[in-house]
Amino acid sequence: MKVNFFNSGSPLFPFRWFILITLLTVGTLTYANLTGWRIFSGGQEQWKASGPGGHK
Amino acid sequence: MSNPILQNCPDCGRVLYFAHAETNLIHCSCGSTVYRNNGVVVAKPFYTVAQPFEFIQPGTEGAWNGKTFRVLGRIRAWIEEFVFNYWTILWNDGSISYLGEGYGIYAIYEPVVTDRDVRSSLLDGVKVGARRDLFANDPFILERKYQCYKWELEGEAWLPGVPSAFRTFEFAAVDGRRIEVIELSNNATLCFNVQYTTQEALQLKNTRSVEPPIKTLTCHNCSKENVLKGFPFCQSYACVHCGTRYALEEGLNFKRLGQRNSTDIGPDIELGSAGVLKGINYEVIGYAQKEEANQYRSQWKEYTLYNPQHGFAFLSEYNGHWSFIRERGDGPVVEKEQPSHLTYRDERFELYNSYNYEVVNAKGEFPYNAFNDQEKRAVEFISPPEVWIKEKSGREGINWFLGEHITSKEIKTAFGDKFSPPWKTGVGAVEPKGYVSMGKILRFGAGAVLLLVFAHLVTSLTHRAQVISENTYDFSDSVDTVSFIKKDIVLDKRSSNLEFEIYAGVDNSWCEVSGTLVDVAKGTEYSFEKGVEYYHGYSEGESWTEGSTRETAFLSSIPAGRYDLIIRATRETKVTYASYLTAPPELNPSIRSFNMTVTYDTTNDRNLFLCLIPIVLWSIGHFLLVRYNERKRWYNSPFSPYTYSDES
Repeated sequence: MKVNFFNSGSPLFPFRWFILITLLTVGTLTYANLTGWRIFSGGQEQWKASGPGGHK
Repeated sequence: MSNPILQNCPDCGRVLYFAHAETNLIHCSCGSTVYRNNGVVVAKPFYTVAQPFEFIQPGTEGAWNGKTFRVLGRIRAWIEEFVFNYWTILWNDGSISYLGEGYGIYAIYEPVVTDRDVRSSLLDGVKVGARRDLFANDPFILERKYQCYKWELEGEAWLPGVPSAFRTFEFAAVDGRRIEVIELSNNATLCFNVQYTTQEALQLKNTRSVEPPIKTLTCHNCSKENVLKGFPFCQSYACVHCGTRYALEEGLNFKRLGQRNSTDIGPDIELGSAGVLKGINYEVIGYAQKEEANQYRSQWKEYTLYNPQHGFAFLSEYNGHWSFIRERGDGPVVEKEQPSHLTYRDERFELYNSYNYEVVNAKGEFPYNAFNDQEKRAVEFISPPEVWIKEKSGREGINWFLGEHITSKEIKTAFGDKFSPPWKTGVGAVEPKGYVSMGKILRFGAGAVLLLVFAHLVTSLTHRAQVISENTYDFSDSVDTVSFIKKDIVLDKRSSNLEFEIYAGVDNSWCEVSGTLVDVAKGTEYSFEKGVEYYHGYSEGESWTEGSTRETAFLSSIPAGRYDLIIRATRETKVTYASYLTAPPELNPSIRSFNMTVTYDTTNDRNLFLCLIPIVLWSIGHFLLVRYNERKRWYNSPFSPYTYSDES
């Protein structure tokens, strides 16, 4: 099996974008879970003593 | 290892070297052909291969299934419309087998003893598709049967009994096993376990490198010359000048056929042009326009590609869509004549088309006899970008061809200016168009969901869900706002979250809670606001509720540090006036206290659900796209699973 799924000869070629989306999503979920990031979370305000505040 | 046997040529006295006790034919360098039987050698006038040019030669070495072999020689069998080589090979363990080879097909023939005595009576009259129990309760289907009317010798070979002619029967089991029976004479048969392989897998060395001979023939109609490059594999041709058709008769002469070409715009790839397709340098030696023998009369074009070392391939074009096709010996084995689908190596192929056909226009050479296929039934099974084509005739048996989609661009790259791509319309039968089976979409979608859930569970194991505060906060009677500070909260993870679960016993009222987390060292503040409101009532004959007495707020991505937590809450107080004159207004606070639990480093399942959305959306989108393209693909198929309202 050809590992490079962006190669048109690979049997995974039709799933190339799906595999990419899945890998990005798994990466995002892992990062979010490990850092306590609540994805698409609004309403949390952050103010830094060192400069202008902002919304995270 | 077998011990070589030395004998002398009866004609010239030269020493003949038989590499194996069972080999019984040898071609002496003096030109004599010698037959050995029970230790006695006699010169017999057998045919010999004139101008051998094949890639394999006596002395070629190879390997297969962990064993090595050496080619001793061959019998080239002339079988009705084609020739096939049975190379005698000597294994390194001393045994002998055949290596079947022809048209780019390779197979190892290992002698096998069947449970049942395969006698001529078992084979006489057996029809293609009929079953025979060659092993106990193990039915095999007859796929091909041929009559070898002549054979030629090269080198040293094994052919027990040296019959002048013999019959072959190839049986296949549904699990892919294949048995070939060679009937040498009445009730004298040899059975072989046939295992198809490829030239690359055989790792052939010491091969022959000879330019294949060409055969020049003069057309009886236009008196112009035709050069055949694929003879003897090609046993039919149409004059490249006038289209007059010829087919070989009994291996001797090309006989003119009565068929004629109809009007034709001609090939899109020039005959004689050469180019590399799928890594093999092919020459276009034939062109045929074929027509379905049914009401649709659909026409397509086929080009014969030839490489002396790798055999034949075909390019097929319909509506500007191209397939690259090669014959395969190890095709699917199907029990029914025309099943609705077949499964080959775990891939499901759907029945797409079934038809008889005839050649309406032709130029150049063709393997086999291309002009007597009217009774052949072709059945196509597709799993884009691949197609299995089954061709069955009562006379020749079942042949399988595996095709795969190829783009015009690839053909243009191969043949350059010799190729004029035709206009493309619709969706080709095996054009990929992002095709994947619904089962695969489901499997990949489910796999991605499982992967996400697994990643979520694993990363959730690192969360400790530590409760750092659980308090009930009271309001003063006269004040609607309350503030509290919880100092010295130590958050020790590099980055994590805080969850605030708020309960307030509001009843048709509200309470608002805000929190600020202050990093004592850096002064950074993180804050949230959350309203808790719960309303209910009865109107128009129905009860209704809105809101909840419980709410949850989060502070996310909080870095490690020492923090103070400031909580402020505001409640609703309703003012009621009993009487403007006799009493002061009455204050009715909505709640007297609220409860809040603060948990550090919690698992957030919402993240998982949000991440599942693109996976599910892609799966649904891909399904809809595939369905849209499949409807167009199957438009030309009489077996389409779709219904069309515009079938005019």
